[in-house]
Amino acid sequence: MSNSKTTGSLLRLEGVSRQYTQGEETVHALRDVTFEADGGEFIAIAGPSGSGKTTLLNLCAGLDRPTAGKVWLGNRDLSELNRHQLARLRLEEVGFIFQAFNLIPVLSAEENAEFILLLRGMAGETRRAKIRALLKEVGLEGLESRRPGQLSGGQQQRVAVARAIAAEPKLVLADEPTANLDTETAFSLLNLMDRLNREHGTTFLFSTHDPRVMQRAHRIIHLLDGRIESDERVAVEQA
Amino acid sequence: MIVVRLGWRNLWRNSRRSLITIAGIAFAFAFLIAMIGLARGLVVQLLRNGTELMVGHIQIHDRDYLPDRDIYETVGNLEGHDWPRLLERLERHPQILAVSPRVFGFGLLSTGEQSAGAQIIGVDPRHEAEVSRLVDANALAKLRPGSLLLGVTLAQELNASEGDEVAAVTQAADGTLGNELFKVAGIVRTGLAYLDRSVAFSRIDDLQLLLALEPSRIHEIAIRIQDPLGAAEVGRQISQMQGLPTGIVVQTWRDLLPQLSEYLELAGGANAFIIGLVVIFAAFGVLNTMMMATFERIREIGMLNSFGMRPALITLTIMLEALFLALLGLAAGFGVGAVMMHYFSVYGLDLTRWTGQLTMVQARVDPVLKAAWNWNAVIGAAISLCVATLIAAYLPARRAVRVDPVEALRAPVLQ
Repeated sequence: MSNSKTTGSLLRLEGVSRQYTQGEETVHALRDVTFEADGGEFIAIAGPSGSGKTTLLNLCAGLDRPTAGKVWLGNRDLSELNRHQLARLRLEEVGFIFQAFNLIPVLSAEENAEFILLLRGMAGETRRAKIRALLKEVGLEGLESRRPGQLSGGQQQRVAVARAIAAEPKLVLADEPTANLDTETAFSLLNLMDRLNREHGTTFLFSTHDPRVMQRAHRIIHLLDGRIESDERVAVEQA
Repeated sequence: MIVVRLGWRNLWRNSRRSLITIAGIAFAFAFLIAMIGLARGLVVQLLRNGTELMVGHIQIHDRDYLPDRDIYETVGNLEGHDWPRLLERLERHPQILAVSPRVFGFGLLSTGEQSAGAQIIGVDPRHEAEVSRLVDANALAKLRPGSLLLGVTLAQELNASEGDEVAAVTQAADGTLGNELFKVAGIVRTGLAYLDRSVAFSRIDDLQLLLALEPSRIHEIAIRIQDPLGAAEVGRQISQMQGLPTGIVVQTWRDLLPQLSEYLELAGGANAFIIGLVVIFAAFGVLNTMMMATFERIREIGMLNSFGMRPALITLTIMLEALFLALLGLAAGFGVGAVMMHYFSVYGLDLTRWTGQLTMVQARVDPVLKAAWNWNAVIGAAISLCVATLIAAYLPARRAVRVDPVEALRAPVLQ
């Protein structure tokens, strides 16, 4: 079996299904999902709770394996990578933003933001300079030494965004990153992600069930009961 | 390094729980230090009382001399040996503190109408005072040529006092009956009733004369060394010295006092068992703490996993947390243990109320037990506690990193 497939796209899912057994019941979280994402896209995975958004993101990151179908990140078939290779792939090519409790509580904002760079072994001075600049860019200048408990929800998510993009990954996956934020903070965060997408060319794939958030995406993939209901590109609304 | 920082800071996320665990390790280590110290104190006391009274730590004899103490079987056989030179050579060994030549004879002592059988030990007063404590140095210093020191009970049986004359009759090495007249230079108490009843001391040359032994012939060289527990190695080194007389054996206190040796082995085994039990109990405390700590952070571990942090690094973070727990516990335990050791080494542990006077393996034991440092055992206990802590932390750590990251990310946030 070949370990590579040249597709040209950054992310490609082909006939992906994922089912779980819950007690005696089989739950079909995803059914025959196929789509491609190119570099620099800003994609919302939309759908109600239980539609398979988180499962889809987990599969894209190699945290979970599909029951059927294939996931390619770049030209690598994730099903052919072992646990350690997947961890390496995530470290080098994928950034994560979760819904909440994103940060390591015992580390400061700066330490959280530089965490991935530390794992990648980037030298101290270069790393610190890069993180200081990045925290300034996401509007957290002066808050570098604060622990997550001393930051607001929005500020915490900004730290998470800084961490996600610090290592310049090809793909940033965000699972309902605005779900716990008020509207103003949510839009502020989306503006930030949008700007980073445009300025750094980072591909964002984020899940949401909030129609206002969806409007900010350049492309919306609607999921319903684990199937892609629609995949539409939308006119970009400038912040 | 980020894992070190994480391990250290994670330790203080639930400071009360960590402090309780640290206190548990500290208590266990302090207890072990005190227990090891008291056990070593007992060993030192038994060894001192068992060996320094008369036997010494190492003895050199002709191979056929013991157990009968046949007067013919002298060091170097019938020709004897230049033993003063041998003593000088032995004294140059870095481990040897003192050496003492001895001659032994058995005979009848009498004063007028009173007589009694006695073992006469010929010694060099200066050397003997440095090797044994059977007779005190002041009494030994009174041993002039032609004089005897008598055991207190023997003196009573002979009705002899200091300054009296005592006749000694014995079977000499040349087959004749040796007899000499000695002056009583002093009455001594050895602390051992059977010796007080049967022993007399003379100068070595006086006894050689009585036994018709040439000056080159002695029966025993007793040796005191720095570390009695290292006697086997020193004994081996002595055996390998060049120019030793033929037909000799070098025996350590373990050969000469087998009961004491066996008791110490048994005590060592019992100590190791208690150390093992305490370490296991401490490890269970750490296991409980680390299980709770990792369970509470299962979502965070899933998050680290999703970032691509290698499972080995995540495990290392948890293990470092446990290592800090152990090191802090050991440091605190050492502090408390050192204070206890100071108290027990100065004032001792008074067991009089429960034991009264004690005798163990033919050695008198002071019921006020004084502690002594046993660094090897203390370091061993510290390493055991550290290793047990790490093993106890490894089990939940391994379990945590093996949890499916998707499941871990779904876990509730508990802390």
